[in-house]
Amino acid sequence: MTEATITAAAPTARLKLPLALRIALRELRAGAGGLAVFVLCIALGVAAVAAIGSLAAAFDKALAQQGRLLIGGDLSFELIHRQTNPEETAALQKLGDISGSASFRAMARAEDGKSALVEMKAVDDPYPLYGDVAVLEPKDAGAVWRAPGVVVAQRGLLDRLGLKVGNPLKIGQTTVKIGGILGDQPDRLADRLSYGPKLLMSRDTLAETGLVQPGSLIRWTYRVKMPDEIGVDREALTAARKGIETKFPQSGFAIHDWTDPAPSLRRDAKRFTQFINFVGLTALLLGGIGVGNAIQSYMAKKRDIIATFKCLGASSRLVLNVYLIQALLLALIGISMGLVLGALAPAAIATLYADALPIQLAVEPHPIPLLVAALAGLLTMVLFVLWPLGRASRISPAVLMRAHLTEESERSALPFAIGSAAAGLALFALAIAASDERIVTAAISAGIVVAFVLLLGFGLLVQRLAARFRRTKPPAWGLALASIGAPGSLARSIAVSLGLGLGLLIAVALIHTSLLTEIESHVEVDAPAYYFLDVEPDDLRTFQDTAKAIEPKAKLDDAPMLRGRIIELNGISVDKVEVKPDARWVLSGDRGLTYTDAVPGSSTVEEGEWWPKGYNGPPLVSFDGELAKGLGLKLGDMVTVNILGRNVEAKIASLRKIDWESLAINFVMVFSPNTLEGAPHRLVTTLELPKGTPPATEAKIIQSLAERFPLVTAIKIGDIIEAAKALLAKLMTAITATAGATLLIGAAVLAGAVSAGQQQRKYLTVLYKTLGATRGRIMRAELLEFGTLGLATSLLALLIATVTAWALCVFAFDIKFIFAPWAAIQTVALALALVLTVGAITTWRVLSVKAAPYLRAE
Amino acid sequence: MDQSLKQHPAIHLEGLHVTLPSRAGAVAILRGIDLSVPEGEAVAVVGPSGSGKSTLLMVIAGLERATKGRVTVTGTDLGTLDEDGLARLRAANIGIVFQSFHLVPTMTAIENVALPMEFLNQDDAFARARAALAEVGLAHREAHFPGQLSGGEQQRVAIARALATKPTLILADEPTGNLDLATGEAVMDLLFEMKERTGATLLLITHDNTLAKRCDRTVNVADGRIITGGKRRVRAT
Repeated sequence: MTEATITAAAPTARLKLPLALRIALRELRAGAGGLAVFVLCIALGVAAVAAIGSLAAAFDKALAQQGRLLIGGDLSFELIHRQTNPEETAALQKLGDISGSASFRAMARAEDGKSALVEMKAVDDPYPLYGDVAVLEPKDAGAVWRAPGVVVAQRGLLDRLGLKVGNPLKIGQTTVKIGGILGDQPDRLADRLSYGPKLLMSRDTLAETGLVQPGSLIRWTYRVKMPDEIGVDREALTAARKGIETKFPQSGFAIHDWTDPAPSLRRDAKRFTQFINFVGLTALLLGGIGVGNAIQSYMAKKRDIIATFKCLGASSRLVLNVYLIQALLLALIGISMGLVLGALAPAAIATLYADALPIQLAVEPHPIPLLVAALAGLLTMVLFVLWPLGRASRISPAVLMRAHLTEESERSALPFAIGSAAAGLALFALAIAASDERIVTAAISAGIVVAFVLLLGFGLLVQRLAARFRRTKPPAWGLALASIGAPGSLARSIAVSLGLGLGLLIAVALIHTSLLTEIESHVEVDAPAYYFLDVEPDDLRTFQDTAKAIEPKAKLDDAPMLRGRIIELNGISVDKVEVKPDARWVLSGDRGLTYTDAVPGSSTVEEGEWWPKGYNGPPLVSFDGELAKGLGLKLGDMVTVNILGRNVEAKIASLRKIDWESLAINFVMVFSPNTLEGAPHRLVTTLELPKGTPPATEAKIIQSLAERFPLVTAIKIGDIIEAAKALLAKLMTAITATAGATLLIGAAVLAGAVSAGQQQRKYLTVLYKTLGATRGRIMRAELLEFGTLGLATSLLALLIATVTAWALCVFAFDIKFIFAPWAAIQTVALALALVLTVGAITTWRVLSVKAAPYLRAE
Repeated sequence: MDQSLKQHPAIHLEGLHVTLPSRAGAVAILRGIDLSVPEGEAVAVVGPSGSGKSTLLMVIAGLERATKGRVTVTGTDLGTLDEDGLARLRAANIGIVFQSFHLVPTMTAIENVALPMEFLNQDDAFARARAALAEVGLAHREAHFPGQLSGGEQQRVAIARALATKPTLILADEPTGNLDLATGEAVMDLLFEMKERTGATLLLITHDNTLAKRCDRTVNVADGRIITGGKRRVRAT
């Protein structure tokens, strides 16, 4: 036969693929032994990415879909302290149907004297313009809140005060009837962080309470429902906003429209997603390592089959195609499983965290994040699979007869390395393309790769050290170190698979503890403590006397309080000012303002001078130094604040360092008295009771203050702290859960790596047994090996996590870092338990093998 | 003069050297082999362990490259083919029977036999595989996996697979090494019968002198060289 006839017999490349598919399926029919880890790793990695993407999309879509419901209209105009004047009302009415409401905090009191803080909303008849108010009880109650003297309240209030529907409730100067239990209501995003149960009443009822006084801390919101054809037209919406802003430049309206109902919430969600994405990427890459390990051990088992294929005439390309198709099919199964899990995430979160979520998530499949996750899964698979497959496809058929004599005769697999690298770059590009903050994502991706390389290096170091000290006594230690130091050691697998997940968990636990300690340490100093809002200046003395009559050691402090919104910085509208992200909140809503001629407690002047007593020049303001830096402000700059429908421009005379955590009365902006003295306002008062004050005394003080000053609102600092702690706990649970998922994938990767080396381990055990090692000795050596590796990895993870948590606490959160040994020990113990469990299962398996077949086979 | 000498020899080796790397350094396995096997001849290669018998077979099968010298199989100089070219040559012209059978454990008997024909994209791969299995008396076992067959049955499947493509050259490496005496004899009877029926050339590596005697010629290899039998003897008929 000649070369020509051989070439003629050569199959064409066009026909190869179906053949490759046939053989791939035929091979898979016997089961993809060992590739369960492959599927699991891809599934978990894709699930993490898909879940995070779907949640973010569900949130965005909810904001977009529920925009009208969330703000309660097409447009909303918000004022603090004051209602619209007739010109403003007329202008708003020209835009469409209008509904006005008042939101504020107040005290609700039962007849027996018990009182509770409530978040109150008083609405007019057209309310709600969009959506419905649900009254849960009694059924078919209808809009009972519209009746004079009737309110509906959330169940929490009734439980707290021991009341039932139909009972009377004192609010301000009037007594109302509880007409029903309040369920969901529209425009809930427009309401602030709530410290108490919600209560809904009509504006006529509000008038009866006497709570509306000049300077009262009431937020007036006017929602507008525009004619349908205009309401959907974004340009018309913008024109309407601009029209009002131009016509009433001094009004101080905070305007929102349904297309972006909650910009600050959207920004916060984006930042949170950014962080969680980091965990998702880690999970995916960790899964990729598991996939790479699994395919390597699978291909090792296939060596003889590949060599046989080649002996029978298969080309390297055909072999590559066969196993690439198998990898692809399994990856598709894994990706599908991951996508299903990820797509279900919004539904699961919406069910489990319904009460904690600020909005109702859009529970539906979100194709774009799922597509991104699928593509990311596929690229990860190619990244980790192409190289081992390429090498395997080039196995020389001679291994069938000469496995022991020749060195590995696979030729260079450079093209596959290039292919893997291309897949890696594509994955990197995809991560960046799918992210809004590309530089951050690029930095995070690079950070993850560096972390993997560090862990790999650490594994190698442990392996080298073990090899060096392998002759240690007693013999069980020697065997363990020999195994750690040998080629094929688990050192690198354990370091890489568990290091990152463990580090994340420890860092989260340490940061959580530091934050909690920070919050709690300031509360314990002089607790219990209260804030009182809306104290009439003329009532101050009586107010203080009432408290001191019951507890003479009570400490009371007070400050004038108004609320206003920053409109311009140095004459430039705040919409157009570039500020640092962590300072933006100051500009996004109204802020508490005060005036005084003395530097407030818990703050010191860092720059500039405090104004003299009796100062009567142009308005001056003292600004929080840290925030001024974030806003790009310096001494002498001008700040324009809208207060009660009037723009006040003041010059920055000093910058203060404020100890916010002291919870003493303090303000970002403190004005010279001549600036604000003339505006109608009330006082905020703090009350500190000595440590050990009996709860009965505390209750008595609050009750007598509430009875005597029905228009004053008491807020217990402990309640705010509890609310903050609860929010923190929820955030931390979410982060811990995702970090836990990373650890879970790590465990799967580890299991895969252990299983890949199982055959060698069994053979060694048989040899040890043959040479006289007892089962006890072998067991000790195995557990020592796993325990040492688990402990070494845990300690490294602890070190990295501590440094990371410290840096985040000190530089990002600006709090004192507290090392929590207990949290660290718990996480390390968890890791050790995990590794030792894997070790125990492995040991049990290797000890139970019979020696003869292994010795015969060798 | 023998007619076969007028044609291409099935195997022609000139000055063949093979040196392989090992952990202990380079090892010279074959040190200057000259051998010519005409088409249709049965040649036994005997020699002690480590003498280079298996390497000789691998070089002829294109599974191992010659370090020096020329290897021509069915008229094709193997040095001119790349790895895939060698694979195609094997698929079309060479059938190999291994001591350890090397059946694909995840495929049934018929799928194993059909595999080389599938590699050649022959549409009737399965029909021919079925016929080949019937020829070795295993038609009733075609749907069985290797693990469900006895050692003798597995080797018969391996022979069916090696011969189904009607190769002009059969290479057998200790084909009875893993079989008991009786089964081994039956398998060899089958192999020789098939060889006779197809007229293929047979190169048989063996330790067994009785088996070697059934061949036309015996080549004795020791220490990487042919000691006796390198020249063809004309058998008395």
